[in-house]
Amino acid sequence: MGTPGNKRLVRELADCHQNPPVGLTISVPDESNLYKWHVIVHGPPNTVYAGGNFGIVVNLPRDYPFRAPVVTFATRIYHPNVTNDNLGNICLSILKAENWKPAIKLVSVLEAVRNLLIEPQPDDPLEARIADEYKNDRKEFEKNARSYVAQYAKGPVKWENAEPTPATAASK
Amino acid sequence: MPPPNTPDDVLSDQGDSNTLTFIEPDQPSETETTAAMRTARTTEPQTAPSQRGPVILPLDYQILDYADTVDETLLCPVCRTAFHSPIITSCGHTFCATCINRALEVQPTCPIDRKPINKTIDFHQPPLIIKEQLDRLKVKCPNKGCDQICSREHLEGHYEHRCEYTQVLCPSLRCDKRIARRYLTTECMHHQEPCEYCGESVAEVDLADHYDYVCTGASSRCEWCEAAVVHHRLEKHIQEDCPETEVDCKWFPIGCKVSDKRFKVVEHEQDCPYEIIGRLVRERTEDRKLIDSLVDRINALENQANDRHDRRARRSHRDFLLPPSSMGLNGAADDLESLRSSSSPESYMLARFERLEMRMEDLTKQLQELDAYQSSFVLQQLYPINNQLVELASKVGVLNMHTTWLMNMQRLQQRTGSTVNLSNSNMPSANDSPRQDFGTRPEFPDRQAFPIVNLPLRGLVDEPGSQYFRADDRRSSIGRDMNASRL
Repeated sequence: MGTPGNKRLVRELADCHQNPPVGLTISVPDESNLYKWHVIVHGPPNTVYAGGNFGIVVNLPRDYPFRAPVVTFATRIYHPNVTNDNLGNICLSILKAENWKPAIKLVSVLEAVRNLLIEPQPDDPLEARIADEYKNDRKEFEKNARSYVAQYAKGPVKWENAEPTPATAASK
Repeated sequence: MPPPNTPDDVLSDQGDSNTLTFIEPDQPSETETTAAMRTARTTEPQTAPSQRGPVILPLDYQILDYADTVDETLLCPVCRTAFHSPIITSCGHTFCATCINRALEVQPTCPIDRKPINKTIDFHQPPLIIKEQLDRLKVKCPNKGCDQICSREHLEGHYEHRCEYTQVLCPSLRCDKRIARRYLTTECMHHQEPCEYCGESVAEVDLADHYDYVCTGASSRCEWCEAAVVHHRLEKHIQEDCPETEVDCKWFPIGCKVSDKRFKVVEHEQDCPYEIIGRLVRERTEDRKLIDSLVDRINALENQANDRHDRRARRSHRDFLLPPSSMGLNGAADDLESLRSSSSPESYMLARFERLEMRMEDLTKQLQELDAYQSSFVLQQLYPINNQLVELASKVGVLNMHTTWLMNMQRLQQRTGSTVNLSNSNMPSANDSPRQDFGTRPEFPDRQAFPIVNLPLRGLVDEPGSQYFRADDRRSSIGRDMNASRL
């Protein structure tokens, strides 16, 4: 179908292949369906997540870019802004329906996710307990996060772990 | 007449003006009939497509491929392509019209800063400079097979009217497929037919491609190499590929006598002794061509230089001799003759063009000179006339003053009623004649009743201003003239 979003998607994908963003590996699992991306975020160095490979599933709505993409972690991660379960929902302000702007590129979204690993935002948490721990007991948080990385984020990403449920993923 | 099994809706389709545009104007019914017949013969669905769409799909600006990278500032933030019919919002952001409209359907805010946007108030036309920049972008024709690159403002014309590869609606009313304009015939090319070689069912429009690249069937043996080759490619195979056909070494024109089967010749060509010579010869011919073209260029440049020199010489010559006349032209014609015989037609034309240009320049100059001469001549002629006019005006002024003076005198005399008048009253006719020369004299109520004092009028007429004005002073005389006329 010739929707503008589709063409923009093709363009964005081509851009990503030409200028691969730092710390991200982008792939499309099904060539016939550009609306689903698999992205691997490499744990940023000098963070507790360093050395881990975190799978991110990006589900794009049919009328992208007019509606926000749905981004979820396929790999479990110990993080104040990511649900500590198999859903891996992310709290990212630019992805909320009321904050989404069609001018935002998908790469920017992915970079924002990566940035979340560098700088967690405990003041806008999804996991209040982890946010609390991050604020008050950083050592314990780092220990837990590292153990999660060792347990879940080593080796190749297991995509089948998290089949996203867009309905819940969109809401905080 | 349509055959009996033609469905009714085919006939009713004929009324659709949109679809009819494709049918040859002189034979619409025939095309329609054949289309209907074919539909009946082949197993296409019997229901006519209700919506066949426009004849040419509108140009999709979002799939365009630009020859150069487009500046980021000219990209729509929504579709990430160069703006198409851009609109600028009140918050100062620019979008394609379609993009902003779609974005507003979802959310009535600016896609960049999310300020509320009302289509009727907040849409503005962008500055012309943006449109011009967009118009100038070099873009590739989106049609497959066409390698045209043009500026974007001309693309639509190319796409809609000139491009041979634009997909247009199939001429058949039963078919909603499209076909490149260059393959367009009066018949539908989309019905599937089995390929005569491989039996695969192929649409007629794709047949050429199929033969060349896809078709696998009905091979025949090459008489030379025994290889199985698809039948219709056999000739090409023998000409270009077959290893068993006899060919000459590629250095045959230089003198290599080797002529053998292709695979041997190919082997031989790897180390043909003539190769070195052949390369040299080839290089030499290339050099020769280069030299020839350079010589031509040098000749042309020399001619140009000569022309310029001639022109300069002639120009300086003409500065002395005002009418340039035909001398320069004759010289030019001679030069041209020699040029025509000696050098390439290109440089000849160039020289000729320069001559004509030169001639035009000369003529312009002559015209200007003539113009200047003419105007100075007119001025010279006008000057004395002007002077005379001024003199005459001053004379009239003087006479006017005289008349007034005389009239005053008369009134004075009348009032005093002295006897001097009576002595002069018997000779009015003698005084009439000089007065009639000056037409501006005011009318007297009754000329006979006023006796006139004999004044030295004659002297005044003959020597204007000698007594009262120095006529040289033109300005004062004009002033006086005006005073006089007021009186």
